[in-house]
Amino acid sequence: MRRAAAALAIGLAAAPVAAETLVITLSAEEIRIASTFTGTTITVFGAIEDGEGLSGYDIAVALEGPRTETIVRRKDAVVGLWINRAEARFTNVPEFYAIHATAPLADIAAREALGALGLGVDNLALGPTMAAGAAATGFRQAVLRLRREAGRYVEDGGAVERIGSNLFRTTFSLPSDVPDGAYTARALLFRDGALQAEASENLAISKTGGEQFLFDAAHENAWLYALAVILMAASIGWLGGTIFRRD
Amino acid sequence: MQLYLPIAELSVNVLLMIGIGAAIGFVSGLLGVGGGFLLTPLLIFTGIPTSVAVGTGAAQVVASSSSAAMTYWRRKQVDLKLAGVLVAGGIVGSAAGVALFNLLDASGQLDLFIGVAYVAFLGIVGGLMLVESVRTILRTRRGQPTPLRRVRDRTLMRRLPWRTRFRRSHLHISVIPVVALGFGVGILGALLGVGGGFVVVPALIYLFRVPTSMVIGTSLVQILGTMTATTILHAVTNNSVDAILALILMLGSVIGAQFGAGWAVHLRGETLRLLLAVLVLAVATRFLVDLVTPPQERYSIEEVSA
Repeated sequence: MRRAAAALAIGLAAAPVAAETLVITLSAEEIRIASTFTGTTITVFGAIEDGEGLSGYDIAVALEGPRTETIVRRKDAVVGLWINRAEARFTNVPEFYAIHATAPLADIAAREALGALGLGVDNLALGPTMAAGAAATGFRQAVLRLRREAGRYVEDGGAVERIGSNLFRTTFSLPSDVPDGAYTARALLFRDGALQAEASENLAISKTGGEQFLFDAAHENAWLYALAVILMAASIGWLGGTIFRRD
Repeated sequence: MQLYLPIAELSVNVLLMIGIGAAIGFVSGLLGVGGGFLLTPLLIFTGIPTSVAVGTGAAQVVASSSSAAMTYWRRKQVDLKLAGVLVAGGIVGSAAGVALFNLLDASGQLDLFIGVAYVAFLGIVGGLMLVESVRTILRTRRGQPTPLRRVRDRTLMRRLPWRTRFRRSHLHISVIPVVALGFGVGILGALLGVGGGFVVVPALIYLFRVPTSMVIGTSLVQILGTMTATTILHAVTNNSVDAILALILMLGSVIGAQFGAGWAVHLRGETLRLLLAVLVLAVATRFLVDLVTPPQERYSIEEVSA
């Protein structure tokens, strides 16, 4: 944290003197997921430079994970069995999205403005889909609901904390199953419902050592990986049969 | 104690997974079955994705069958030629099964298919075993001798072409039904992650009249060969074999099997079969309940990996 604050001070010193300049920095630039990973936190520090301080401004900070194509399926009853009958594909769904703010988003800006900025879980752009009309809305709502329940989409309109007159801070919780990939932290400064400034920083979340090695091996050297698994199975079987030999 | 599984891409409780492995090992040691038909469902019930459960279940069957096959090999109770013909059919069946599996996975119907297949497969096998074991138990109570099975008419086996001599089993039969059996079991293994021992063993005994001393060892070698192919095909085509999960399960089951085998000597054969039947029917019922009860959440999402 001290390092982050120092980085921030340098950022502040270097920032050009202009109305409402926003700078942010993260408590870490990279997070490594090891086999014992049980979740972690990442803190975003920010500051505003325009002489007047933070009072009178609203701040929202969004942390967004990598986007992937995602299929949503819906089960319907068919002769007594619950079967996946309908599906929709969304081309650009964030695997993780958390937004923290100094106040509930609805109080910060009008719905149209939030929609245009894609701010808030309900306003997330999921990318184009082939599904249309009411069905598309149902599938979209399902993605948002399921991801919320899984702790992958979070919205907290009271989690950005002001420190003194110029600084703010917010801490995001990353669950144990946080997806790996390229993340972006984006801070937005509002006054009277209008966007005044924004700033963003990148965060990399990656699997480490053994986990990444096995994942890569399974996907890129599948034959070798398969033979290694067979060798392991046969050795354990052989060991078991030898150690516990009964005849 | 949570451990991250690199292929399943989720964290699981290590002790729970060792426990599942040990339980499967115990049951397989106790009842003399591979345990794949219990392992794959248990993994699915604990939240492991279906494809990973099947692929990893197949790898676990390789470990347990290789261990048991060794014992029979030492006792010279394996008809290698017969096993080889079965494996040949098995590899082709496995390839067909994995292709179907991947097709179902892509269309979102894999869970449904696996559920229905397990209900049907385990329902039939469990039902038959239940009836047979209860009958035997009742007969024994009344003091009646167990009637010998009727000799099946094997004229069809004799008429089919490509008759081959299997010296160890003292058989001279067509290879066509042998390959067909291997093929069918190969499909079953690839789709459900089961070795198929309780299809092969009765088939070898009652259909092909393989001497009892050769049946189990030959069936184990056949399972070992076919499931090796299945594991490789799953790993190569859909990357669903989780090495870490497999390792935990294998270690648990090797230990569990010893306790199971120790217990088995205290129980009668028909009592064991009754236990197995109840277990099999319980798993089938669970799948059936999941299929017919309205789900709490009708929607599900899946990320399409690049």
